[in-house]
Amino acid sequence: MLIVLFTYIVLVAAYIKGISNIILLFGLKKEAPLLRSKTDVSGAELLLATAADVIFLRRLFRINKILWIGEFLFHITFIIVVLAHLRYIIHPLPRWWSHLVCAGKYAGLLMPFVLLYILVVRISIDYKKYISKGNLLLIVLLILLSGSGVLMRFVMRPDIIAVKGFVIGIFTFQWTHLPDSILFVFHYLLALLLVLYLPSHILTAPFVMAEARKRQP
Amino acid sequence: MKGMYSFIEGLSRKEVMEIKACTQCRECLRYCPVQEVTGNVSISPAEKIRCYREFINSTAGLKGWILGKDIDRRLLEEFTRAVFECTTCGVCGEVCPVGIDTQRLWPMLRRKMVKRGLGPIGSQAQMPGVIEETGNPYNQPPEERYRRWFPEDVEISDKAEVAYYAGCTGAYQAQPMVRSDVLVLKAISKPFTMLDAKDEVCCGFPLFITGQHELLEGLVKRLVDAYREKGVKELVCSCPCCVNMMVKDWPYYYGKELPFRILHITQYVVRALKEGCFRINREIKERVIYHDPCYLSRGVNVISEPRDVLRAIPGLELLEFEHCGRMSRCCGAGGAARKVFHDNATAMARLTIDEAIEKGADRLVLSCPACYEKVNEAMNDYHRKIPIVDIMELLVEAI
Repeated sequence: MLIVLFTYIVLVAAYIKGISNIILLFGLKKEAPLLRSKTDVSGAELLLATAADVIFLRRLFRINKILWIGEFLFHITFIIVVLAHLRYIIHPLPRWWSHLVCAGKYAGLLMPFVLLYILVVRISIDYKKYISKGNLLLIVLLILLSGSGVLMRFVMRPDIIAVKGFVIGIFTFQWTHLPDSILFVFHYLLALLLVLYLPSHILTAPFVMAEARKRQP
Repeated sequence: MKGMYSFIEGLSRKEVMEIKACTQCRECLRYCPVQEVTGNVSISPAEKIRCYREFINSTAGLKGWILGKDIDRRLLEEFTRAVFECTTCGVCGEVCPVGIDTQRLWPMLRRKMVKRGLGPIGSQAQMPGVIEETGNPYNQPPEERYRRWFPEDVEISDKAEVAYYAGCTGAYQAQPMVRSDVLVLKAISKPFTMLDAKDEVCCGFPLFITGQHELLEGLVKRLVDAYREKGVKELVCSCPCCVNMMVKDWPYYYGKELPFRILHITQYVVRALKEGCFRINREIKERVIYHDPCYLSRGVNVISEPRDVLRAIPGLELLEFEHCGRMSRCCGAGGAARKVFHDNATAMARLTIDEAIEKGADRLVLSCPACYEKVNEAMNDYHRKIPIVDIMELLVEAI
C-alpha cells in the first residue's frame, strides 16, 4: 500500500510541477514585437526546420558528432521504450501494438549501452571535469532504470499479468498486490524518481530551438 | 530576499523558457573564452543558468510556493560577479544544442542584478552619469568628438540620404578606424551627413550591456529624430556594438520601426563596389587574417561582407582563424568587462594575437573599435606582436 501511496504522491507532484511551470511561463509577457527576431522564413518552413532540429538533434550534430551518436540513439530508444511500456496501462491493446512492443524490446536492450557510451564520452573527453552533478545523476538513474528493465526482460522475468494488474489498478483505483519481484519494485521506484526528476527542457527546448532557427540562418 | 523583487519580473517568456531549457550539457564550456583563460567553472554559462534557475525555482516555482525559500545574498553576489565577468560574446549560445540566445540573455540577467542593487561592477556604475553629462561613456568633452581625427578635406552635407555615425569608442579610443571610415565614404563620392559633435551621443549599447536601461529611451529618440530630420534613409556605422544596438534595440526604445535602414560600413562598401562607385587601384601583397567581432558576426550576421571587401583588394591573401564567422572567439573586449576584468580581457586578446602570428599573418585585420583598442593594448609588455589594422584603414591604403 505504501508504494501505491508513493505513486500517487509522485504523480500529483509531477502534475503540479508541470502545471506550475506552464502557468509560470504562459503568465509571463511575450517578447515585445519590436524585439522579436525577424526572419524571411515562412511559418511552415520554420516548423519543419524546428521539427528536424528537435528530432535529429541537429544543433548537437553540428558541434559534437561523437556525443550526438549517443544522444540521438538514447532519445529514440527512450521514446520507443516509453511507448512500449504503455501496454501496461492500455487494455485491451490493439493488435498492431505487438510490433511496438517488439521494437521496445530491442530499443530497451540497446538503451543501457547507449547510456554507458554517453557517460564514457562525457567523462573522457577534454572537458571531463565539466560534467555536472545533475547530469551525472540523471545518466546514472537512467542506466539503473534501463539495466533493471533489460534484466527483467531477458533474465529474471516477473509475472507479467501481475505487473499489468498492478499498474492498471493504480490508474483505476482498484489496487492489487505488488508483483512478487524485487527487481520490479526497484525498476518501478526508479521510474517514479525519473518522473520527479524529468528535466524542464523537455517542455521548453522545442520553443527555444524555433527561436534559434529565426536568429541563426 | 523573497518578495523583494521577483526573479522573473521584467524577463520575457522567451528568456525564462531559455533558462528552463538549458540541458546542462556544458558543451558551451569548450568554447567560452572566459573559461579558456580562467578555467573557473563556477562562472561558466551553464553554471550561471543553473544558478538563476535555482533562484527562480526557489522564489516563483512549485518549490518556492511550498517552501518559500530565501536566496542567500552571497550566492546572489557570486552570480552577479559571474554574469558581469562574461564578455557577452554569445559563442555559448551559438554552440548551444538547444539554441539559447545568450548574447541577449546575459544583459537581461545583468539588468535584473542591477535592479537588485548588486550590479553593475566597478567603473560601469558611473556610466549613466557620465553619458548624461558628456554624451559618451569615456567622460570626454563632446566638442572633441570629431576634432582629433576628422580629415580636413572631407565635406559633410547638411542633409543627405546617407548618414555616418562614428560611435564613442571609435571617436575617442580608435581614431584611425573612424578616420578611415570617413575617407572611404569620401571615396565612394555619394553625399553623406553626420550629426554635430555634441548631438552624436552614445547609441546606448554600454548602458544596455551593463543592465542600466533608464536613459536608453531618451538617447535613442534623440538620435533617431535627429537623423530623421536630416532626411536620412541609411545610417552607416562601423562599430559592431552600435550596429547591433541600432538593429535590435533601437526600434523598441523608439517605439516603432526606424525611419531608416542600418548598415555596417562593410555592407555599404560592398554595395558601392558592386555599383562601381569607387575603384581599388593599389595592390597590397600581404597575408592578413580577419577577426570577426562577436556583435557583427553572431550579433547581426555580417560575415561575408568584410571578407568581400578584403578579397576585392588585389594581392591580399586572406587567412582565417580556427574559429571564425559565427564561431569566432572573443578578443576580450566585449560586454563592458574589459575595464573591470582587465586580466581576463588581456589574456583573451593575447590568444587572438598568438593565433594570428602562428597562422603566419603579416597583419591582423579588425573591424570593431573595442577589439582595436583591446588587441592594441594587449601587445603592451607582451613578447609577441603583430601589426593591427582596421578593415577600412586597409581599404584606404588600397584606394
